[in-house]
Amino acid sequence: MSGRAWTLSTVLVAALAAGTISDVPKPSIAREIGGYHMLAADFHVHGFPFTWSTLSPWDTVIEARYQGLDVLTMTPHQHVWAGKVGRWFSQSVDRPLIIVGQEIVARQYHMIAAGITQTIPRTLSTARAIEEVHRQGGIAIAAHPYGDTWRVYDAEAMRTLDGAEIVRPEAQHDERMASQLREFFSRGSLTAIGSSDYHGFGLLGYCRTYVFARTRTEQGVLDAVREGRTVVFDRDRAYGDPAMIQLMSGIPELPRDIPQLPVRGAARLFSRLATLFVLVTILFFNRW
Amino acid sequence: MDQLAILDSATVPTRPAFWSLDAWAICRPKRAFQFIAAQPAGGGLWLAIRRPLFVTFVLGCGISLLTTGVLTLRVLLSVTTYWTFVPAIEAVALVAVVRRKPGGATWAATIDRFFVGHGTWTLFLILLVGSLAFTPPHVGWRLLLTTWLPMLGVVIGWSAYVDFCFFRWISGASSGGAVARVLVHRVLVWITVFIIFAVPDASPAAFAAELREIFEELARP
Repeated sequence: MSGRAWTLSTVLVAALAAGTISDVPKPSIAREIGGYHMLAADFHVHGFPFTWSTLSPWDTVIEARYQGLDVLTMTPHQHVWAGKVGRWFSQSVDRPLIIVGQEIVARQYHMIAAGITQTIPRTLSTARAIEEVHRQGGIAIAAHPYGDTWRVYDAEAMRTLDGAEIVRPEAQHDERMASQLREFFSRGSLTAIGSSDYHGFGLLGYCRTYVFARTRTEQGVLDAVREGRTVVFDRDRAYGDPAMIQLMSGIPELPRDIPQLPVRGAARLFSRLATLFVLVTILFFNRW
Repeated sequence: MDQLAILDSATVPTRPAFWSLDAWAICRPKRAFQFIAAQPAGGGLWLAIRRPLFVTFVLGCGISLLTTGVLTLRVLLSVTTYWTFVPAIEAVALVAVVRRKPGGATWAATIDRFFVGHGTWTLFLILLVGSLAFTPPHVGWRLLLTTWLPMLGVVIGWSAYVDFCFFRWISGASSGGAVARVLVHRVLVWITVFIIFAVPDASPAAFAAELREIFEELARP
């Protein structure tokens, strides 16, 4: 091995060590409060393959643990088996609770179906899709309900829809988008949902929903959403059940702001820079 | 056509002392592949997999940086395993397109030489990850749309020329044949990778729906 190869190997091992050591799981803030199990959930998560994501279901489950999430709904486009794989894997690592779901990707709307067992076709109208979700025992959540999708949510759909995403990553820095999500939410009696629409980069749980479940089970979480017992933080605002917001006000360590991918810290910075250095050096200076 | 018939030994370029073949192929693909064509072709498993493995390693490192902000063992080991599907599909498509081993070269050497021309994509990936790993998500998304998407057009065009040089000088195709091989190889690789990455079922309708999603997402104000 040449001197250059030794140097690169050393830098790479150091980058890996620094990164692995600084990659610390965030503790779950789940607790019993006011007779409920308060759980941090992300209801809109994609996994590899077949659904525009980089991380497999098992890596997504592990990542959720590292981000302090207690509940995850895996919502691949037009299939449910990734969620089933994730749920099977999560049973071996105890947490998070995985809910099998699907993002129904129809021509004019996208909808989260959580707690279902079979794929729901994309050809259904919003009202029929919601009906099918309910028939399978699940809940229906409007995914990124921006202005161009409002017209397909007719009166029947708005009456039967369980929830709507009111906080999303891209709306954090775009007031026009944020106001559209708020406007849709105010059109009906909907449960507030914050979700990250995670595609395997960025931060899983970047936007999250605090759920107040009577039991720490899938059924408990689904019932909590049906009954509107959620809280979602959005910078200086909180949406959801006022009684639950009041309950949460006494929790000092609760992150009320949107979490960020940690970028500071010497070890983390070194890990990133050293990795990029090694890759560029191999590409430009290998003697293969 | 045999590559030696195309290339007179007096015109064989000299390899730069400092840079890798991969870097040379990024900047001067024709000269790089003319040089490579005149070199003896080795064999063996390591020769066949070393550059594809590097591509997979770059993907693994990139995904680790994008998801956790650092290079971490738990993501690197797992992700690198299943993202081998990208270079694996490229190699299989290459064999399908070339069909016959060019000019006495082994398949191992042919695959290795093809991946010499992968540097444009690899550099693009490293720069993309480098920029996204240091920016908050909302800035990263804007960077993707305003900088990296237009850059992708340049990368697609230039890497097509690099692959053309490979098929022209290494596999010994005529100019027209090299263009055809680039196109067929890309169609095979891109469609397969896109299906595995994004399409929920293998039906043409699902494929079309996902393509439509891309355009609608990009067209969204």
